[in-house]
Amino acid sequence: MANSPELYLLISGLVFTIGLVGLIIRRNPLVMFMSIELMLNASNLAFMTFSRFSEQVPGLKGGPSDGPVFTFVVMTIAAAEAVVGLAIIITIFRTRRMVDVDALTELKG
Amino acid sequence: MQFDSMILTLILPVLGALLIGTMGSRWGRNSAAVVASGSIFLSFLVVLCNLWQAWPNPVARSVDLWKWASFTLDSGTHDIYFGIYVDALSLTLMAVITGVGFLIHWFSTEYMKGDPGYTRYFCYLNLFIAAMTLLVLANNFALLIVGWGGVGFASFALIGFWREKPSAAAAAKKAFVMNVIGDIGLMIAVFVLFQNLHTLDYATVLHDGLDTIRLDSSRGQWLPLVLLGLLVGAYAKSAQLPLHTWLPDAMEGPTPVSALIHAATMVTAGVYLLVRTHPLLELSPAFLQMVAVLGAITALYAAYCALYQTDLKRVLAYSTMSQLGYMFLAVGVGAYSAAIFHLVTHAFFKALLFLSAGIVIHAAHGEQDMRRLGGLYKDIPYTAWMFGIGGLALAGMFPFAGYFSKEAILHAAHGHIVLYLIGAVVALMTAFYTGRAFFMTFFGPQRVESPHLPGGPTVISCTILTILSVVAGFFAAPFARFLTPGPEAEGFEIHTDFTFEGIVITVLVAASILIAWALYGKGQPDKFGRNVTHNNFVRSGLQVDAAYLMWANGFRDLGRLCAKALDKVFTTLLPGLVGSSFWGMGKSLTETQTGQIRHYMVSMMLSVVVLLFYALLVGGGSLL
Amino acid sequence: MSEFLLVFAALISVGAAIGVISSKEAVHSALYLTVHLLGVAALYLFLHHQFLAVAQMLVYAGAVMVVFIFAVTTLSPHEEPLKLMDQNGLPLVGVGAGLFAFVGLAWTYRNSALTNQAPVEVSGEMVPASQFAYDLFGPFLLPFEGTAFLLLTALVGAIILGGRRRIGDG
Repeated sequence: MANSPELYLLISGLVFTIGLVGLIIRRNPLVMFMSIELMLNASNLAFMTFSRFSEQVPGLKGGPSDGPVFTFVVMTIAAAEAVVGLAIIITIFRTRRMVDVDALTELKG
Repeated sequence: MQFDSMILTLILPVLGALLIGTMGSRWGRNSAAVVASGSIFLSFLVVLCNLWQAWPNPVARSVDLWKWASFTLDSGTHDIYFGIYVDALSLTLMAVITGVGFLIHWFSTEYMKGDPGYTRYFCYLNLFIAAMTLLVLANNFALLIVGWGGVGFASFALIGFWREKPSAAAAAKKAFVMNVIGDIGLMIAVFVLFQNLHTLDYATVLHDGLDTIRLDSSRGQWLPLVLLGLLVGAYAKSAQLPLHTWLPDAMEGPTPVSALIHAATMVTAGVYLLVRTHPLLELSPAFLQMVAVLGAITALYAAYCALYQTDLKRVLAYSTMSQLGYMFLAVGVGAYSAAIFHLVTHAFFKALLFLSAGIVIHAAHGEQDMRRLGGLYKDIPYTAWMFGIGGLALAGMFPFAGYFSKEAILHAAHGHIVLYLIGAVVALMTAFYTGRAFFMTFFGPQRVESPHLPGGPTVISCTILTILSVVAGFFAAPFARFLTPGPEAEGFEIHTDFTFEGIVITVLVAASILIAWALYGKGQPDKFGRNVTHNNFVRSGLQVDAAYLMWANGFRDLGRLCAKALDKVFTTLLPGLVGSSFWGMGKSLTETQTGQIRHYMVSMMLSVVVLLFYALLVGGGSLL
Repeated sequence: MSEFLLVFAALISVGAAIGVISSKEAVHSALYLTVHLLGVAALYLFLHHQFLAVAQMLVYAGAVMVVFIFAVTTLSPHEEPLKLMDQNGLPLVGVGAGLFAFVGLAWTYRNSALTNQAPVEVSGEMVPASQFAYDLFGPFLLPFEGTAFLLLTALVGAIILGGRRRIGDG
C-alpha cells in the first residue's frame, strides 16, 4: 500500500472535498480560511504523490523533482496568503459584533 | 442649335413672365400689363407669319434645339431632345392660344384693374401661355409632359388667384389633384412607350415607327396601357367623365382666366393630345370606340347638369364640358379635322361668352347668380348683343360658327346611330340652357342697381371675338385642307353640305331657343333653379363630386386612425415593450448579485465541477 | 508495521479534517487543523521526502497556525449552530457539490496515466535535502525567486493592513 499511489490520492481527494464542503457550510470566516488551507494541503499531497510514483529520472532519487518544488512554492504561497487574508478579515470584523460572512452585504445588487 | 422662328413664341411669354415676376412691383401695373399683352401679341404675329408661309399646304417640320437627356441602356444610347414640332395642327392651336390669349390679356387690363394682385395675375397668365405653347409645340412626349404639368400648375395658380378666399383655394387644390391623376396616367403611358420603342420622338413614334408597332406581336401587352394612360391624361385635363369635377369649381378664378384656361385652351389640351396621337389610337379600334362613347355620355351629362345651374359661370363651365364631349366624340369616330375645327370655333364663342359674362358680373357688382340678375339689356345692350351672338354660335344656329363645326361632328357620327341621337339631343339641350341663361340675365325685371358699365378694352376684345364667332364657320373647307397631313390621310374632311337631318336639327334648335324665350323672356321664376331635392342633386353634378369627397375623406380618416393607433403602437407600445423587457432582464440578473460570499463560492464551485465533468465525459480524459 | 502507521496517519489526517469543518468553536477548528497538518507531514515522510515533511511542520503547523490562532483569539466569534437548510438550502448544495467534486476527482485519478501504468520500482531511500536544494537553485530557480518576490509583496501588504491604526482607520 505504501508503494502505490491509490491511498495517497484517496486521502487527497477526501481532504479536498472536506475542505470544499467546509468552505460552503461554515459562516465563520476563520473556519472558511482553514478549509482553504485544507484544500491547499490536499493538492500538495497530490503533487507529491504524482511526482513520487512517476517514471523515475536517472540521477534523481524519488522521482522527478517537479512535485516537491511545487509543493514548496504552494506552501510559501499559502503562508503569505494566510497572513494577508487574516489581516483583511481582522480589519473587517474588528468592529463588528457578529463574525459572520453573511453579514457582509454591502456589495448587494 | 438651329433657329426656328417659332421658338420666339416660346421665349416671349417666358420672358414676359420673368420680367413681370421680378420687376413687376418696381415697374408698376401698367408696365406689367403692357409687357404681358405685348409678348403674347408678338407671339401671335410670329404665328401668323408661320401660318402665312405654311398656307395652304404646310410641311411638318421637327426641329431639335438641343440635347436634353441621354440614356444608355442595353439596347443602346437613347437621346431626348428639346425640340419643337411645327405642323398644321400645332400652328392651328398656336394661333388660337396666342390670338385668343392676346384678346383675353387685353380684356384683363381693364377687367382686373382694381385688383391688388394685378401684376401677379399677368405674370401667371404669361406663364400659362408659355406652358401651353410648350405643350403644343413639343416634338416629343417627354417635353409634352413638361408643358402638361406646367399648364396644370398655371391653372392651380390662377384658379386660386384670390388666395384668401377659402373656396378658391379649395377649388385650386381640387383642380390640381385631379390634373395630377391625369399626369400620372400620361407619364405611365410615356414610360411604357419608351420602354418598348426606346424613343419618344413624335416623328418616330407616330410615323416611322408605326410599322414596327404593327409588326410587334407583343404589342397587346403594352399598347393598351399606353392608350389608357393617354386617355386618363386627356380626360383629366379636359374635364371629361369621370375626372371632371374640378371644372365647375374652377369658376372660382377670375372670369378671364375661366375664359382662357377653362374654355379656349387648357381644357382643349386633351383633344390636342388625342388628335396628335391618333395613329396610335387607330391601332386599337376598341379604344376609339370607348373615346366616342364616353365623349357622348359626358356631353349628355354636362348638358343635363347645365340646365339646373343657377350660377352664370357654372352654366358656361358645364357647357364647356359638354362641347369638349363633342370633340372627343368626333375623335372617337375618326373625324379629327371636325374635332379641331370645333375646338377653334368653340374657343371663339366660348371665350366670347365668358368675357361678356365677365362684363355682366362686373356690371352687377360681382353678382353671379342668375336669379338675381335681369333686365341688363337696358344697361349694357351691346354686351347683350355679343352674348347673344355667342350663345347662338354655341347653340349651333346657322349661320354662326358653331353651326358648321357641330354639323361637321354630327355628320361624322352618322354611322353610329346612338351617338348621333345623343349628339342631336345634346344640341337641343345646349340651345335651351343657353337661351335660359341669356334671357334670365338680360331680360325680365331689373334686379341690379346702378350697373357698372364696361370700358374700351373689354368691349373691343369681345367685339373681335364676336366677329370671329360669326365668320369662322365659313372657312371650314380651306381649314380642313390645311389640316390634312397627307393625300391618303383619312378623317380629315369636314362636311358642311346641308343634309336633311341637319336642317331638322337646326329647326329644332331654333324651337328650343324660342321655348326658352317663352319661359324666361319676361323674367318668370326659374323652375330649374328651385331648391328641391332633384334640382339640387342635378345641380351638384349628380353628386359625383360628393362621392369623390367621401372617398377622399375615407382615406383621410383612415390616415388619422392609423396615425393615432399606429403612432401609439410604435412610439409607446413597442419601445415600451423593448425597454421593459430589457429592464426586466437586467433586474432579474441583478438578483444574482446578492453580495453574499458563500453564494458566489457555490457558483464558482459548481462551475468547476461542471467543467470537470465536461472534460471527463466529453473529452474522454484527453482534456485533462 | 509501516503499513499500519501509514493507515494511522491517513486516518488522523482525514479525521482531523472533518473535525476542522464540524467544530462549533473556532479554536477547536484551529487545533484540528494543526493535527491535520502534522498528519500530512507524516504522509510526506512516507513519500520519502524528509525536507518537505520538516518544512511542513515548521512553516505550516508552526508559523501559519500561529497566525491563525492569533486571528481566532483576536475576534470573538459567535457561531450559530449549523443548519442544513438555511440560506435557501446553501449547505445542502455545498455538500452536493462536494460529493460531485469527489466523484470527479476519483474519476480523474482513475483515468490518469499514473494509476494505469505498471507499478514503478521505487527505491526505499529518502530524498536527500541536498538534491532538493540543487533542484531549487538549479532548474527551478525562477519559481524560487518568484516566490521570494511574492513573500515580499505579502509582507508589504500585511504591514499596510496592520498599520493603519494611527490614521484613525479600522
